[in-house]
Amino acid sequence: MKLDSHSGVGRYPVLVPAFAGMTTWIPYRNRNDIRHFQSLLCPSGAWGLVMKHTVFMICCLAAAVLLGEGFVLAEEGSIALPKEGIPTLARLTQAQRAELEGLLKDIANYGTCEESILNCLNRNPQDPVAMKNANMTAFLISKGVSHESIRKIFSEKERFANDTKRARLTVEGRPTYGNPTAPIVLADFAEFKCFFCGELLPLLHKIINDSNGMVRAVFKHFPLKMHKGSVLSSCAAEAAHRQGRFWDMSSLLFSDMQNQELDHLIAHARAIGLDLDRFRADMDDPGVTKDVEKDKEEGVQAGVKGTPTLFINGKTCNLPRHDSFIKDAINDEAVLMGLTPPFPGNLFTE
Amino acid sequence: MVGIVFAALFFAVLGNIVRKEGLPLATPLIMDARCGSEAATANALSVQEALLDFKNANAVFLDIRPRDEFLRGHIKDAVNLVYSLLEPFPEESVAPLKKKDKVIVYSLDGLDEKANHAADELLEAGVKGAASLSGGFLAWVKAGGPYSGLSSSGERPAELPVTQE
Repeated sequence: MKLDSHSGVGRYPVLVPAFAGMTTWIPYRNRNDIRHFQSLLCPSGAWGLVMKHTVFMICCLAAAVLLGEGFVLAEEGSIALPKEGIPTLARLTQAQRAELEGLLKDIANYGTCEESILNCLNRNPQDPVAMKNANMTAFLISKGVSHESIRKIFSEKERFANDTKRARLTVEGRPTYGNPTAPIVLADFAEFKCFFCGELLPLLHKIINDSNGMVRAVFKHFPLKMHKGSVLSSCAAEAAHRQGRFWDMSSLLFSDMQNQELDHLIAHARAIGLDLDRFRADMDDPGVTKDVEKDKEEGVQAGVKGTPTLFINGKTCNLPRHDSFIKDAINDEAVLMGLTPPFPGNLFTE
Repeated sequence: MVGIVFAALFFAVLGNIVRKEGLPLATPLIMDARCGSEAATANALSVQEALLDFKNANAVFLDIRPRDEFLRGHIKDAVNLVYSLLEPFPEESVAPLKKKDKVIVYSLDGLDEKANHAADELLEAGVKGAASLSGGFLAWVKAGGPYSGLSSSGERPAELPVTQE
């Protein structure tokens, strides 16, 4: 799994500004040399200016990483955790283990033991939730994710695990991906002019394909007023849904978020082989708009403010949009329901 | 001096590239990046706060329910501006609200969250005094706030300066 993170800045908060600050020691004469060097690298004008700053920031960060690595290797840490349950532990340096220990002491566990993860492991080294959480923490540290982000992730995981509030969302008749009787329902409030929605949908499809029929995704319309024409796009998808081709239409809509005028929508309908007369008639049908509005109304009542917003069996899930995090939350939900988790094994490996 | 700096930078970049666990020089870890989630958030007023504002001549109560519900009963002197989840408020309706100190938006009981969304939308549109009323019309009536409408006294509602059917 790949993680985008501001880990370098998180791990070496002092080094980056310190290194950047070094430039103030350079005499003016030599600063001109730097400018000359930069001008060789980059063209002039606004783009050149952006490039110059980007190159310089990358260089500063990389230097800090290299310098920071020396500190990591020099530091000592001490922690005794079950290696079998926390496979990522073996990958950590001594300093990273010390980081891990610090975080495990602070971060609260959930499930049967609600003390810190470290305390829960001390009480019961086989506590599955504590072991899983410890491994996830170790994994995130190994990827250089900042402590702040790790705490935020666990805070959200804890909220999700203990959240008793479940939104009542209509799923019957709504566009569904996967086994229509699957016990775990992912409701995705989204619209077709939102980049993040376009990113999430294929991820959800992958998760459902991996779930062995235990999870289904339901699309809920939430067109945003800030995106002009998003209602029309939602109606087009809904009209396609009436002919059983919602997901094909949604793929086309997400593939070009700029061009979603009526002509484009009809072209999409033609491309996926819809009955065009019926499609046009459905687009004019107030019932289609009403269905879109009903979805949005449910979203508003459930506290949705932006898109995409994901619900797992009616509980909002604000974890990072990577399949491992979402699969992990689904596993937690399955355990709560007394079901076998659909995604066995360690989800946080690569 | 310059040579040393750039040599160090070169090796730093090279070192990060060849490291097995090289750090990503990419975007921050954003957990909840969303479209539309950065919209302004309007205040939610308690009924007691709203009752104080009722005496303010430059405050207005905005009833966002459908016209028929509004006619059945509403806060005295309130203005009816029907809220749509799909279409923004018309500009001509928003313009006069910008001149008000406070625009207190309410629905029947506030449970549908529409008043909050409507107040957020008005705030975003430049109505600086937009706020929502916690508990809506029902909480207002319960607290003894003045109201009018066919259901309360049978009187005809006053002419409303801003309406949207």
